[in-house]
Amino acid sequence: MKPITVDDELDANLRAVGRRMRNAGGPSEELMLRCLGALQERPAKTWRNLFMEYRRSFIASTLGLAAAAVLAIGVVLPHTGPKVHAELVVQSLARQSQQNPLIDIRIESLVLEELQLSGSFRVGRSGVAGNISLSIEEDELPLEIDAALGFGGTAGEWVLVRKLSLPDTQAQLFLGLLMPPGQETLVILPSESEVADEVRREIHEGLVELRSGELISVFKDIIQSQGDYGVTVKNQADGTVLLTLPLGDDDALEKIAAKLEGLGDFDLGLGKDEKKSVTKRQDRLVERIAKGETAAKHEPKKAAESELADAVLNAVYDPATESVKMVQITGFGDAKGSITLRLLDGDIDPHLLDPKRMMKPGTRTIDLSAFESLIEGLAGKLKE
Amino acid sequence: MCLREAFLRTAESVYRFILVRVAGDRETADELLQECCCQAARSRVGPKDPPAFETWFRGIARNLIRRHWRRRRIDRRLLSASHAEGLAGVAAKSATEPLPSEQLESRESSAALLLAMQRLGRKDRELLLAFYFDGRSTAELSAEIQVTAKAIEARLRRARDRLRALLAGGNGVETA
Repeated sequence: MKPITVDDELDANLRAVGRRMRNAGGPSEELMLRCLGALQERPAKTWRNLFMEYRRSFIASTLGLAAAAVLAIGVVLPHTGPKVHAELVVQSLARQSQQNPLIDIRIESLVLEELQLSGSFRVGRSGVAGNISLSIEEDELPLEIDAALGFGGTAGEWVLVRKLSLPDTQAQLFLGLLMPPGQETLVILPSESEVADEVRREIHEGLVELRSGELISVFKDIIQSQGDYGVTVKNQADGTVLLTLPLGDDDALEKIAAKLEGLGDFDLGLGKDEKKSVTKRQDRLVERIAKGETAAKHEPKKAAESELADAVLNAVYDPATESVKMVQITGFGDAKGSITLRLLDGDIDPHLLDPKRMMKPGTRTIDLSAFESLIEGLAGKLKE
Repeated sequence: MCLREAFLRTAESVYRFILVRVAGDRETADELLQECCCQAARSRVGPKDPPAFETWFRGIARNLIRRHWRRRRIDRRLLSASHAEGLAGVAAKSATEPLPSEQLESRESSAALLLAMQRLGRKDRELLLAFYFDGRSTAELSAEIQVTAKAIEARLRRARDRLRALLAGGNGVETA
């Protein structure tokens, strides 16, 4: 064995191995597709995250999906279905939102991971009223809320708490002093809380967003790029049209979610000059992606499989008044729950804004306005 | 420029960066590259222009590689006794004699050298990897580290000395 007196041999061996490694080639095409798929991953792939992302415009998204369904009819079945044109539907939705209709929202058995939610709300010109039953499973103790609420009207802004459990034991003990278990408590919110205005503003913004050209263009693009989402049309006895759109189609869902996230997500955004500089191998990848062959196809579509496999979107459109009457999503979430949204005429029933109508005898009342003035008074004394 | 295009432009370079740092184990390099992309997508704040993207992306990769080695505790625990013996033989030979070309073509020779490098100090390891495996010249490295080319050559020589000591079974870990 040749003794080493200089490091030439190690140097030569390192150079040779280094060359071999450099020439070993880069990532495989399959790996590249998986990576590109991972980079394209967005939280919007699950309904929960989609709703969270678009919580400010939840109404708009729901109505927008209905608009997409209606637009689909206008584009896909212009001759065989009802004579519904895309622009007409968009205009009618815009008009309806401007008219500030009474919106009735019902949520039944909505279970998404640790969240369970049921409730009903009415949003009108005079206020917001509703019932909510919510439970969030924590590590040990769940957070549970069962309450009625009313914001607006002569009674101000209030929450009638029928049940409230907090996940923290100490907080629960403290809460027990204010709200004894098994007893209803009416909580009057400070007059300047203006929750009703905030809720109405959020909904209004959602409707404005629906009307915005950007969102409309997304829906139009969805329809034009892939017209057939499996929409069916049924003329009903009362003259309205029922549109049904299954949401269990992974590809359709992926595209809708991606479109709602932003049109750029499925477009690599390469300019002509930039494309030239990309290697041929990358070009092939770009082509495969353009054909929709993204890594998403190589991975299980968990969101669609678990939450939307049986989900269906129903929308009722009235050609006579050119208005959307109802939008409903059924069969989604772990408990196959539903959300129904109706657009009604008129205003909210004043009775719904009056807590006395639903309070049991002996209900305690906590007026947070009084607490607030007490705290302000104490603060003033301290300052003095 | 979108995140995916920036990735397309730098993927090969980053992949090699990972590959040589996981001792040429392609399966691990594949996993880490994909995990890098997942982390990049989650962060949503990465730069989009390729040079800045590559630096940022390599930072993610470096952390993942460190975690990888921490989990695997380098070679001794993960290798079978016979495999480890074979690699040790190749490693020892590579330090003391020119390996025949067919042996240099084998995965073992790469793995043996790269595994030994993992036991070097960070500065030595990064310098050797940059010079021999990333294919960067002494001029490039001197410009980057802002020392003379002769200083780079001297550092390379010292790093090789320590590597040779490691390959021969001594203590070549950098103390600086």
